[in-house]
Amino acid sequence: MNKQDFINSVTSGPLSPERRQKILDILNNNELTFDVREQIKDIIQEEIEVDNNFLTDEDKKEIEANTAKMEAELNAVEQELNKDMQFVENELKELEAMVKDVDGLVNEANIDSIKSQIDSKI
Amino acid sequence: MFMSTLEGQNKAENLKAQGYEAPTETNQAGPSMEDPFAVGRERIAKINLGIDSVKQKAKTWFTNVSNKISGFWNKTKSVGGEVIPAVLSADVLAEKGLKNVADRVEAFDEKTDKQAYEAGVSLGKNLAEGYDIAKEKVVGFGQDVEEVGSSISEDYVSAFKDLKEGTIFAAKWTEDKADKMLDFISKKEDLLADKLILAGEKTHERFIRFGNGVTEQYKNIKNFGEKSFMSAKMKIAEIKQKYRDEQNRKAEEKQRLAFEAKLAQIQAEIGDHNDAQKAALEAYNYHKIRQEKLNNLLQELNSYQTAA
Repeated sequence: MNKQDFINSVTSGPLSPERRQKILDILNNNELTFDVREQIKDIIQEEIEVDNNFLTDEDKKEIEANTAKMEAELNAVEQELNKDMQFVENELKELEAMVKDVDGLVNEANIDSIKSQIDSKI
Repeated sequence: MFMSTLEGQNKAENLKAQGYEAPTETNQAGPSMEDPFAVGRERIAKINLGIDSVKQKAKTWFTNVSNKISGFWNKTKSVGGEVIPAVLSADVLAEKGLKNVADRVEAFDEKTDKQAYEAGVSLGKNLAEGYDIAKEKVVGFGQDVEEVGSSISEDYVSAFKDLKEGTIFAAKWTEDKADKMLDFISKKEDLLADKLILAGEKTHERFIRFGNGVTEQYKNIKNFGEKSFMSAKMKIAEIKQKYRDEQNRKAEEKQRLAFEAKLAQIQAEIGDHNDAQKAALEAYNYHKIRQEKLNNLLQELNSYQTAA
């Protein structure tokens, strides 16, 4: 399947005019990267979820349970990412502090260099 | 082909026993009109925003630090060098250098130390010219230096084209991460040792060595951040996919069962070969077919590989 095939499927697919246009705009203005694909999936999924009136209370309880499971999994990923990024931030701060310290030494070295050149000429 | 009336009755009873009673009309079967998927959608939207915010924050950190490292390289390259404008890579530094000369020249007696005085004035002029050139260099900073480069952080987030490839990567990264963290600690100790030596031995070579170590460490941290970020993105995509597959599969199954229940009910009530019955079923079937088509669209999207 190529881009045009997919555009045809979207055009003829059972999407609301707004969602169809949204997807077509995305496809026309972007390469199909992973992020773009996820974005389109989210829109199609919204369309799928419109048809929910056939669900019973029992079904809805199952959906709630699934949603809770998904939320717990997403929370775990979010926590792990936050921990990793905290590590990254701390490491970068330490690196920045080291560069700042040594930057002072570079200034001293440059001043020494100028002084020695002045001394050698005067 | 439609079932016989008896078959229809049996089917309807069986389905009822399983808890799938045929609704009288589509869209009236559900006991409530609330959207059961709203919470899931909201959570997904929230994490999409959250991960984007992490990306923006990380880009700022990396840009700031890479600018500092670039500045460091800009200065360090001139340590011990012969070209004064290049040495004067910062306004403050240049001002300090000029003041130093001015103080010394003022200390000479123009008549008794004529030669030294003239040499000092001449050097002061040279330094002043160098200062102006240096200021221009500072303005054009980054163009002619070995830049670690804030531009690197612009492509901080590349992406996998395929979820499978991404999830394999995420699993591997989770395994490797602890070792990478230990590497950072070890390399940081090396850098601290280099920094201590530099305090007593401010040579060009020592600065270059330290600069290389810092650059390497920066790249490694950046790589760690990118991989952690990508890994999280892949995990999120996988969780979303699993959640939706499950929900959609169930929903499709419910639609199918509801359709069959309706079919059985009509069979039981009306009998076979009735055009009105067919039309009613087709209308009823619309939602089932629609759902199938949308699921197919998702499948097509998954099979559509990026041309690039």
